[in-house]
Amino acid sequence: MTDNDPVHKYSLIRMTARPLGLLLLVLSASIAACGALGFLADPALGWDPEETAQDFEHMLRAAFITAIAAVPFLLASWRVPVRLGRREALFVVSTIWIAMGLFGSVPYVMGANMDFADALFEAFSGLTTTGATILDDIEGRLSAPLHMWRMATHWLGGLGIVVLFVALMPGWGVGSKRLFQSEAAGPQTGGISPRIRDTAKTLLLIYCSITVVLIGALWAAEMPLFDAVTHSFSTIATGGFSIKNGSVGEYNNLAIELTILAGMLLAGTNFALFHRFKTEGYGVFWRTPEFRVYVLLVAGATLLITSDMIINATHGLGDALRYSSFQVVAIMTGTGFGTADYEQWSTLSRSLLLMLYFCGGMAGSTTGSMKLIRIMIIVKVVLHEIRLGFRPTLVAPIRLGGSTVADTVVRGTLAYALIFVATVVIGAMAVAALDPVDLTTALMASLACVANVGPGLGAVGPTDNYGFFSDGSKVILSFCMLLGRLEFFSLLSLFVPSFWRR
Amino acid sequence: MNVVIIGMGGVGFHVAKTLARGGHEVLAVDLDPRRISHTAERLDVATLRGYGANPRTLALAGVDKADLVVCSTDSDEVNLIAALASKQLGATRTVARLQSGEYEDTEPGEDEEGLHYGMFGIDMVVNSHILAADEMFDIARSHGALDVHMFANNRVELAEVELPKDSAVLGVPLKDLRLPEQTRVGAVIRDGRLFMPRGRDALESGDRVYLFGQTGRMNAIEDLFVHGNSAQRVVIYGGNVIGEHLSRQLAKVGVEVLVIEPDRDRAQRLAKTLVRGNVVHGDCTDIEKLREEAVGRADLYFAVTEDDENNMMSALLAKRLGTPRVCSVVHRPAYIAIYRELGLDMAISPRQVAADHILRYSNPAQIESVIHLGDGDAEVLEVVAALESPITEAPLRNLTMPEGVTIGGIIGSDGVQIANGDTHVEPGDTVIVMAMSKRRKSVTKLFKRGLF
Repeated sequence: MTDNDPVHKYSLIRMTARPLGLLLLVLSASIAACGALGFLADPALGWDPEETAQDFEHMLRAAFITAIAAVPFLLASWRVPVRLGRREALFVVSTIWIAMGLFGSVPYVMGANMDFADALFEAFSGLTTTGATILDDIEGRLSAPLHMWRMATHWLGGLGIVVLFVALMPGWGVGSKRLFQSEAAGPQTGGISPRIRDTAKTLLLIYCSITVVLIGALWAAEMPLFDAVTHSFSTIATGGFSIKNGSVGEYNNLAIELTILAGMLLAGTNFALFHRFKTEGYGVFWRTPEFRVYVLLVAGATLLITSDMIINATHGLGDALRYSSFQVVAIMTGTGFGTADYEQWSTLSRSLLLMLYFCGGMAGSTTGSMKLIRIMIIVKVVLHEIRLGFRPTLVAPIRLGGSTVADTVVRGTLAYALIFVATVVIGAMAVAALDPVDLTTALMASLACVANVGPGLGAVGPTDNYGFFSDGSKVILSFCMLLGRLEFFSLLSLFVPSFWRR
Repeated sequence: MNVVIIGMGGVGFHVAKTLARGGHEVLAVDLDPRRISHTAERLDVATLRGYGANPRTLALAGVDKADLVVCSTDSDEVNLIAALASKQLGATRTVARLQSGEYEDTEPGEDEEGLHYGMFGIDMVVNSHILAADEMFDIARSHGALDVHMFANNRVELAEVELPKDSAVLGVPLKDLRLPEQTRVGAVIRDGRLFMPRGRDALESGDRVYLFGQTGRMNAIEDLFVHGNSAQRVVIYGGNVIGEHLSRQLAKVGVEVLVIEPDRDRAQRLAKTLVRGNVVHGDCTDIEKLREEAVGRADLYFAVTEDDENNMMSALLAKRLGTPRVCSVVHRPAYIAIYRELGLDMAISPRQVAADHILRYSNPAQIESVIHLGDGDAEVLEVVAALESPITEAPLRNLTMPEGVTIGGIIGSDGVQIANGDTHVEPGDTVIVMAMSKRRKSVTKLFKRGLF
């Protein structure tokens, strides 16, 4: 029985350099591929072929820069064993995401002449599937290859770059598992296969399948191929970027809206359920309490907003249903597509939407925000505390769908909720300190970024953008997005002094 | 392979670790949430908390679809029930690990094959204490070996010897050594570093050498290397399951056995069943007691109690009193390396012996790690040569063997033979291979069909 603990002969940086280097190579290949995919854009629909060719070249250069940046990492890790303990895994995941954001912004700087802060914001917004943009004229500013890259960052970040990585790279045994868990989307992932690499492969397969189906469906709904591909990327990742100034609403096509609505709902479902569906049939969905809450919440919120609209006589039944359902799902799953300017809705409807900002979809999905399972745990804890008030000797564990929730999970959930709210408030204060904005705008910008939704309310509403913020605010908001995407703890551990002490 | 392992103690954890690393799908079951989180934290396996003997837990674990169920909790009865129930539910193969001696027949008849041979429908029963005792018995019977491992149903033996200053083989290149028939030199550990010697290499005093041979021929090669004798007088400290089994076995072949047991009641119980051999009540960490019993004049000293520290100290005392070979049982495997540094000749971990035994059984059709040598630098594997695999193309002499890989023995249709240059491996033969652990890939290549 040889000892399996990480070797401490090498520094943290050297031991984690290989995953980083490999990742930059993957990123470089992705940038180049997106440049090539830009040629999917049909010149007959107004795409300028000259611009496409020019930006293809820019993308290749960006890819080259990224590949060069990978070299020192690969050299530093030459013949160094990759042994990922907890600490190393946290470090790898955090640095991978930061590196992705930094190098993901290179195409924007080179192709669209963006400021660095703007490019960084756009890159992080894409990778974290937030979908907030600093562009006021999206169609005018970007060429086809850059559009493709912008949408593809959603796809790369949606399932989690580390999941892609674990699925495709040679396994580092339990190290892969630690990586996977450090990027986890909510508690209770896993349950697909005993081996983490098989789990990651299954997730990736489901992710790709839904993407392909969506592309087909959108194309069938008479969307041009380029638009179908990019919007599928954005939908399955619950991102929210669109290649149109008016988002999905610009197509004004019910079939497209319904397809994307369905896509967002699928993306908000725990992917493990699709896997179990193969053996257990439809029952698996309804038997899962989180799925029931998911469906009921979507239906309930849609009905409330619809009736609110009808009572206020702003829309007819059909339109009310169409806009409210799309907007409810878009906000709740953190996609942030728009078909209607919900800023014009009544205060009641907007308050309802505000609540959905906190919810997110199911754990194990591509959605952002808190995830429903956490909301459910918190509600149960609160109910429990209320009962304890008049019956102090009650012994009752927190139950979810027949099994008890471990105390450590409950504690982690409460800490998560606290840090979520704290980050939103601190983010809002930081933004308000740097920019002259009103309270709604500051709070909603921070919330929309932490929850990875994208559009907020006030000056960052569905028809506005984040371009007017100062560079400082853009960097702060980018960091908020990353915190939200990595669910705080992984990234925050880097800022705890004892993490660096040995 | 789909494996369910019930009980995440020392044996279960080691088996889970090895199988998971070998690319198998492993589900670990334990009742203790701390053990479960410990396992989930360190291994790439799925985990389930539950009572192993409960059929519902087993059904939840999916034993019906499992290729192998290993039951290795701390309770023998839970292991037996879990193995039986798993078999009932449809597991392909089940292994139960036992610790108590109660399931061993004290005096088995000639044809009786108790629990060990598939009674109740359990495919294999592994008793870690009995296996450890068996290994110590083999050491006692060898001519000076420090460790002995058996392969191919005890037909091939691997012995570890340490060369004394006056060994006859020092300084002679290996290719000029006249080795007895059906034996060969495997690996050498020099200054703590393990390597596979070539023909021109010569051995030095203090080297630890691994020797392969047919079981009946080993004494001859051991005599050549260390000119030792099999032990005539053996002292065993501890009258537990290991001590009892070992003393009975040794007494049966005429070795003079002395068992020293610190607990009076246990000593009395043992004395009743041990017909030949003496039982003494006393504590071996007391040097006066050891002098009194003339432990220094014994050929071999085994410390087998449950207490690692007492075992170690008493074995060191015996060494000091002049016992030429001392061996201690270690329950914590991490201690093994330290024991050697401290001057003990041998250390045997029952858990590791049991885990190795289970792993050997777990998948005989493919490469499986069988036994680790040194500090895990090298391993001995039993591999089946595939049809059209590179190893079967020519006699060994004409093959370019990868560095750090040695062919030990071949178990073919015409019996067992130890490899030499003329040996030609046929497809379907089981080959015992000694390889540096990092050369595992070259071994796979050698025995797999196709692209060289």
